[in-house]
Amino acid sequence: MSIVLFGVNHRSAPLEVRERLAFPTEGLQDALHRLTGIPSFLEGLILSTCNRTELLAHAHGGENLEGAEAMKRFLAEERNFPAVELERYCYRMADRDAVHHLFRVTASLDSMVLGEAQILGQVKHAYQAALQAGSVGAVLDPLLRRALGVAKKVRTQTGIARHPLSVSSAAVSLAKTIFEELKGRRVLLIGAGKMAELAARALVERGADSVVITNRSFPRALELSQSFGGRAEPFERLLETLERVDIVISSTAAEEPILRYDDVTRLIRARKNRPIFFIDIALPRDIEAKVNTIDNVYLYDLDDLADVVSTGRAEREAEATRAEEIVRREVEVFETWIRHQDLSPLISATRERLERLRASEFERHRARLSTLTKEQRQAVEDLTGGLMSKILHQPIQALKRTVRLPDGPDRARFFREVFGLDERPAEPDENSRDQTTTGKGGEDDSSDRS
Amino acid sequence: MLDSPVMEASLLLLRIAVLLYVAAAASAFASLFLKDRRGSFLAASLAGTGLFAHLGYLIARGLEMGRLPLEEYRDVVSVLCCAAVAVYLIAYLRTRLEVLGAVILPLVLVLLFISDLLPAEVVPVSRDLERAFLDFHISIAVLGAAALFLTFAASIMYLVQERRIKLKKAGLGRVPLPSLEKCDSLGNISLMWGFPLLTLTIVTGGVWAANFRERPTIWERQETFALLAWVLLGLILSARFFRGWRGRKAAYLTILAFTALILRMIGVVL
Repeated sequence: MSIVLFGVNHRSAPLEVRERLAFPTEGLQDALHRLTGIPSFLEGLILSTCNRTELLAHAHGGENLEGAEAMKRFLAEERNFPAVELERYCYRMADRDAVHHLFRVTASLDSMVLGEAQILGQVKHAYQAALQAGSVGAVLDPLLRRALGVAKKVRTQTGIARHPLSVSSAAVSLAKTIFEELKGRRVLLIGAGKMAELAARALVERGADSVVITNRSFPRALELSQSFGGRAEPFERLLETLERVDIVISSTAAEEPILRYDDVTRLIRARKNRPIFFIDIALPRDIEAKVNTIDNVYLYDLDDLADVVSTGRAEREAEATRAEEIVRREVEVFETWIRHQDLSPLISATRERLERLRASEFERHRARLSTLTKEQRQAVEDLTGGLMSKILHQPIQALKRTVRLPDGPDRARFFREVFGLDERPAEPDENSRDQTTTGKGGEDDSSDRS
Repeated sequence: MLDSPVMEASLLLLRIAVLLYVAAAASAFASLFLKDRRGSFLAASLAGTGLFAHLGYLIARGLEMGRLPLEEYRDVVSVLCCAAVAVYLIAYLRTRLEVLGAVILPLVLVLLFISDLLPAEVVPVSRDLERAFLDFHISIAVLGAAALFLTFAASIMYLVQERRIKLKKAGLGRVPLPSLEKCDSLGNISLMWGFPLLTLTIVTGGVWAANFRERPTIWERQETFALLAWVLLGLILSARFFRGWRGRKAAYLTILAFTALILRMIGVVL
């Protein structure tokens, strides 16, 4: 496995640096072509978001260091950024670490907001762009598909994405513990404020039906209702309006509560006990706290929401531990798989080499064998062929077992050495044959070229 | 008669059913606390297999007796548990609510355990017609009570979820519960099934008592709990219908009514 990763993220580089290193979507295809045009690389991928720019490549065997250097030069040239300065912000990883990093990034474990959903889509886009540019293949293609699969697994098997992290998402998830779905629910916005508007928008985005807006200044209510595509109601008719809505977000600047216990008791009777959810984000509060004791009335104030958010953050962090465990296991699975992939050219190269030996020995003794009958010649062929596969059987089985061992690659290297697979083949015509039949031989050859 | 090989085999079936129910309840709880959805599916599969064993036992028991196994209290409770598991499975398949198993299965187990302790008391009946009428009465009572298992489960879930929301501890890193609206509608739908069946039970019970008893009486002590359950559920339904009444108090009343009904079914007399 020769996977190289080079990049900067929100932890390693400030925003000013990240925005200069980001790749615009339009030029991405060309950039991918230029990346894979670098002789060290067989495949490449560019992941560029507002929090990170990462280059990923499948490099020729044993060229991890050179690969990372080439990536640094590439990024510096592409984004017109001094390479020396880039050195201060970047990180580079290879093989197992690179795979681990990619899986963590895709599963949103490396995100600024732990468990956020956007990164999955961004990795998907980067992958699609690479597919279109034809820059992913034998190694990166399965790697990325696996990364996306791991991310899905993490999202479904852990609660990392479930817990709310903002007042808006807390409002949404609380509303969903009361109402089965937000579809068809009407939201009332009393007064206006940035946070109240955001919460109302979040509810509408998740399917809430319409927003009714009321404000002490009716023109202001009208103005807001236009931006929401909702309806404005005069503030004087607040109690009647409340009968027709399900979720209320209140954030007026009133010094005194605008809704008192008695109002809400009467309201719930008029509503025939249909549940109502009050979100009071005003300071001082708009709704008397005692209202929460009324049956079918649920009241959350700013502190309650803040509690929900901080619990949500703690929960996500707890879930992240489980997610890391999933990622770790998946990296292992992928590593074993890729080592298997690495082995097959090695095994065929070994067979090839012994077959060549056999053929040349046959050639050497041709004169002495010429007296044999056709059957006898066949017997010698069978004998030597059988002997060859018998000799090879044990070492190849042992080689296959090394994929599960931590020092597997070292053992594979030793295997190559033992069978002399790293020696350059003597004749040039055989060299070219080598290149087509054995992947590793080809790679070694081109590494000499560069 | 208990020594017959058929009966022994059928008792084995009952034990298998109970073991499977225990495993199902355990996996339902495990699924909730480990927050793994597969557990609730496993619970349903185990309970489904248990249901077959249980049915096998009831059939064998019927064959042995040569009639429906509705004579003794313990048999009636066993049939009720079987029906309740069936109701749970249907509701689970339709709603995919993971909590249902954890509420209904333990109750079923408790009832099965109690049924084992009940005396083999038989209501003396003289004629075939009378017996057939009584069987009909008991069958609908069992069906109605099985539907009310779901109402009960919905009320429990409602109360827990409501408490969490009121105490501002809603749904965070805890056992996932359905929304209040979902609990409410599940309770209401199952009550719509259970209540008419319960009404019919009470009517047929009255008719049976008036026609077949030697001394017909309007009020029998053992029916107090059944009537209490019926009156409470009737009040809940009509208050909901006319005034939209729902919520915590309704849930408490529902649980009370269900408890009364179950007490009647296991033969507790005031």
